[in-house]
Amino acid sequence: MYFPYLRGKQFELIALRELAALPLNPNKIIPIVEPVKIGLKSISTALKVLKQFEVKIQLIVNPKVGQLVGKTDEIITFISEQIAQGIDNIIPTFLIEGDSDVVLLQNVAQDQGFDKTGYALIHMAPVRKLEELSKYSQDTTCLYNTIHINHVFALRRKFRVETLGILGDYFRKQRVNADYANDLDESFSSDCFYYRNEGFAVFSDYQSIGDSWIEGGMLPKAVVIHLTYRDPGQDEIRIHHFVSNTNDDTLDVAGKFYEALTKLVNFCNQLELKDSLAIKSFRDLHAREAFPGLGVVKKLSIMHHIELIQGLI
Amino acid sequence: MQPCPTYDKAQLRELASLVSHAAFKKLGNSTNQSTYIRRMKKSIGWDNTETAKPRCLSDLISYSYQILEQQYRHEYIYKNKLLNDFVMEYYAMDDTILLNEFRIGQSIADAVLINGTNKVFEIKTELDTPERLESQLNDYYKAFTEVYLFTHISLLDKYLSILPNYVGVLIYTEEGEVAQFRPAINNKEFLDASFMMASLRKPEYSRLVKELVGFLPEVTPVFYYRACLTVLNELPIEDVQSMYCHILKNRIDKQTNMYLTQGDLPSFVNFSFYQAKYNKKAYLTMINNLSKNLL
Repeated sequence: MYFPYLRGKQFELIALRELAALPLNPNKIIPIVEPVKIGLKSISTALKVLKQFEVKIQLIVNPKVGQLVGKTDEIITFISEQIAQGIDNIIPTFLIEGDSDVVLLQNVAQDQGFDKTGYALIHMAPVRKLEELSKYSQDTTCLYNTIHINHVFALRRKFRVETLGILGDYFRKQRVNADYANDLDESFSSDCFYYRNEGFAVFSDYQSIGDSWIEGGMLPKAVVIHLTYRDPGQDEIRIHHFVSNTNDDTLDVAGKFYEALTKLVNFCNQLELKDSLAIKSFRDLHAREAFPGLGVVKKLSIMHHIELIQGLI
Repeated sequence: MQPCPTYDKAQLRELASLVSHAAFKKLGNSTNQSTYIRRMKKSIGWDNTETAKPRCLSDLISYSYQILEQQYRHEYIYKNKLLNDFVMEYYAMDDTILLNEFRIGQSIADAVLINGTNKVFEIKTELDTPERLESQLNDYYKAFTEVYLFTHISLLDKYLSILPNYVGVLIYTEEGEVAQFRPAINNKEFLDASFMMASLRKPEYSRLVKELVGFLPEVTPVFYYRACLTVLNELPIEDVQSMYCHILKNRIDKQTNMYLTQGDLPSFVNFSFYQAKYNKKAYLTMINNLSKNLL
């Protein structure tokens, strides 16, 4: 199984909605969504669309970045409202970084009955109360234990094998967009080919965005499109960065997008990559010489990655 | 009451951050100013002040403003003085725009005035260095034809020795007045349509093209920017520049001017108010905050 880890921003959620009709396979894909914006309307829209395809979302109830840090109560209320409306494809999910998260888990899970109806954990760091946590998860309905790759050795033995997942951050973020031109084609990850043999039920990643969190952003000088693809020669996912040519100012974003897009389309033709929904959209934008905005570019990148992985597992 | 005590650099810096556009903007969007008032009282040493204490927030800011005018003339003081004692003095606000922090090329002009004429003001306070001045001037002359340096009289000689003769000079006098030392000489030599276009928003540069040639380029979206620039590059640069100024003047905000010239605002807030383009609600919130009783 694959858990794409997404921050609940507008274009990430639209990516999920538009992918749903692919259709997403509920036995292969369960997105993790960390809500980061006050007002959970766009999450509820995504849940509704995914529900039609029986795809679940692991909704983080204790986000660590964004506007909802510390607002667990709000998110819990949201989950109850959704369930009351028949939207039951939510798996309440807890980020575990410290002992206070363990306490929160136990309180919330018991209050809300998640200990029986099911919940999931994402282990970002080992905690002092590890034994207690381990026992709690084995005694209650803990569906998934996704472990950050840095702590796999210490933590995997503490949780039931059939619940184990591995979370890796494979995207190498550059300081500014133009810097992607220094390394246009990089290895991304081979987890999707090996995770089962290595004793995991699941693997997870942050797609072509990475774990690091930045609120807002500046207008970039260079436009970059990130595209993951399967290495034709071996079991590995690579990532290619398509960078615009004229990058000394923040002007003419549309023209720069077209420069990057032209490279992407040529690349897809050359490698004869299979058309994903996103690649089809990129081809269409290229043919029409249209510019949809940078948010849509990010959306298409995410959609492409999830579709690629679903086809490989 | 007249401020007399002296303050150390750290206190003045803190005070300067409270007397700034960033700080004043908040006066228009929240009725709760207790943190702001507390910080300001702390940095002027309210508890140790022995003379009559300011009664309302407006008086308190005014008192802080006077301290800064005497001991730490930062950029806001210059900008506010430029607006109050030069622009509002000599120009009709209904037909004038004063742009703040206007980006031209790699530089940001402190203020740009457009009326029948155009004037860029580069402010060099006593806290600034002449660093980057040359590249800033080079950028400004790509879009505008008159540039003024606005500096304190004590720095006049230093700047005169490095300024080209066509750059005008305004001085901040010992008495706290604005005086013209020499006028700028019109310089069209370096005008460049690509810099003008780059400083405009899309609807503005579209209008610039449309007004000049009567039509918009019919190209796909990704080539639109380049097509507009190609059109502009083929026209006489003086025509482009004069229409460019005309288009920037559309940023004049009548309502802001009305509130500004009505005179209900204390003069220290004028520059910030002018930039922020307040609606009626924000305006009233600000007036209300300023009259808040402190005692």
